[in-house]
Amino acid sequence: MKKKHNYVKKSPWVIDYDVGGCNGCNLEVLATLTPRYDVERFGVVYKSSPKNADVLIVQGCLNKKAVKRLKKIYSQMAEKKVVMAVGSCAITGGPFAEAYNFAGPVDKHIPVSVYVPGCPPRPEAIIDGLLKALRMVKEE
Amino acid sequence: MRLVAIVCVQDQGPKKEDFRLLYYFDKGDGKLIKRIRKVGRRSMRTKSIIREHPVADLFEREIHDYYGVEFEGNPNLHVPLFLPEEEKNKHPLLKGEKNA
Amino acid sequence: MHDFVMPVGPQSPALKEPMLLKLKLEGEEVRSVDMRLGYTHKGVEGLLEGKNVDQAMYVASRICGICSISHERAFIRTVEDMMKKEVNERVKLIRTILFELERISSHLLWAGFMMHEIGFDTLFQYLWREREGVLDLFESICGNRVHKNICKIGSLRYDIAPVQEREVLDCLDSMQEKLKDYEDEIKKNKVIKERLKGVGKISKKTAIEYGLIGPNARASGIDNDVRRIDPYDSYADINFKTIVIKKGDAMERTLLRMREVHESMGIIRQCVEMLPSEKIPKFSLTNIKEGEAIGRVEAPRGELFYFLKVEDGLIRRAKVRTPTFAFIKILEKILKGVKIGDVPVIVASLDPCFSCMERVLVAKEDREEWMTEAEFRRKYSC
Repeated sequence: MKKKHNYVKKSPWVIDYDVGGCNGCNLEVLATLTPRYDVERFGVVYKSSPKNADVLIVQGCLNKKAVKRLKKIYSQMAEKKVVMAVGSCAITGGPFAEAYNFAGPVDKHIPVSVYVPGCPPRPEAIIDGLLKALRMVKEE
Repeated sequence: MRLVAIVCVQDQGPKKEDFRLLYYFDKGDGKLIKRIRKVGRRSMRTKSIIREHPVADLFEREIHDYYGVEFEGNPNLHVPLFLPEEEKNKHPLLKGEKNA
Repeated sequence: MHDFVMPVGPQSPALKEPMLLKLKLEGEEVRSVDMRLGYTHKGVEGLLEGKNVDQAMYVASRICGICSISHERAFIRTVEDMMKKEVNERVKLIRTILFELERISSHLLWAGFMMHEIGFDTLFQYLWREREGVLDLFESICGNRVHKNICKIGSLRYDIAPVQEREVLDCLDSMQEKLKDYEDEIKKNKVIKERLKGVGKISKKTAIEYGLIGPNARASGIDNDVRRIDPYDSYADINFKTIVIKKGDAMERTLLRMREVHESMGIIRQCVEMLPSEKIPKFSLTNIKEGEAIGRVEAPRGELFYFLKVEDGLIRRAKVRTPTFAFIKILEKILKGVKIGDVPVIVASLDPCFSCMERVLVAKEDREEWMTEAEFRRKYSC
């Protein structure tokens, strides 16, 4: 019975894209690389090219100028891709939901599979969300 | 003297929607020097100060984006600073009728 | 001749930008620079209009994740100036402590980023590990690692307990030696010296002409610290040095920030010693009808300026002018004539809130080609 977590058979590449937030979530996502949280022990690698990435992390409050770029990055990723929305701005707009330049939550434009709420979420929560996303990539 | 900021305030009241441009300068001794320039709602134009203070370029472009005030002498106003190209003529903070 | 469009981002708030730098190259040298901003513009100034002061403070503190307390503090300085409100000694000292802790956290973050930018990931990991100690302090005192939301008009949400004072001092003691080692490494390491020394020189004349502020200006010989010129909180009562050096290149800017971290530690130690035993007053909802005022503080990146106009108890106009917005114009001047490989280092050395060159877009007339940073470096041998 395959019960163990064997979702690290393939080293997953993650692309981290900030659409324009306050940078709080960006800091916490980058903090996952540091020795205390160390996301790389799961084999996760953060890359900046969408072409080979499996997981797309979207953080920040989507504004109108950034929507086109986001869709372009999403379309450039190879199939079996998973999108993770990190932070309350990406999920609902957070404190900026009523601002005139807000272009809607991320799942209005691209399909999102994992939501990590928080303002900003702790690095442990982000790693937890990332592992859930990796499990989805693994499932054929 | 260093230019600290240019603040554009649109005063509203009965029959009045003029702009007040507040220029704040820092001489380095603690207090900021404030200069006020009034811009009428109909004319919407004033002179740019980018020759003396290059940093005013970004401030003036921002005010142009938000309110539509034209700064004579600033050649960069035609490209919106913050808003997408398609929304070039929308001025989000401008109150009242456009053709007052 | 190619037209390179290099996105520099994501950036910090308050003034909002990852920006796009369109560089015209001739061979390997930059000929002209065109800046496009607005990639993180959310319309915060529009959002603040129509809110009352307490609601607006919540939004103001979330404008930036790196200088969150600086925004709160500038906002509060403006309102307290409008209300002519006096603040008690303990509140002032605690605000100073938190403000300086944020400066330390921001400079360490930036230093780590700078090392990552030149390919020295080891120091990036070490510096961010030290920074975790400061974030733990924030979590213990304010409840959140990033958006602290602790300042209130005339008071604070939480007080510091004696055991937390001890935690603060222990954290600083444990960081002090290690930071000295990292600073020595930066000074002596050949790789770092080659990438940073002599790069991105800004003369005092250029700095004055373009209104440079913050640590960048202090590295070019201008003494402009708002904490000294226009003191707020407890800065008038504390002994601290404003470090000013004259060389103005990327290496000096890096070392200046590391030294400022040590100065901040000295300020915090003095504040903790001076804390009186009286409790902070309980905060209440702000009651203000009319007023117009300005306030400025020395954020980690320079002078942060707020303007507020209140009418009928609601904010009618809020203007936030962040330090990055004030000095970013200088890039048009200092990037001219430099080699393309030095551009990321120079932009990063100015600390425009968060400069990370994530992707490079090469636009050849009608064809666009996206490259990763690594591919770009390989192709143009940075």
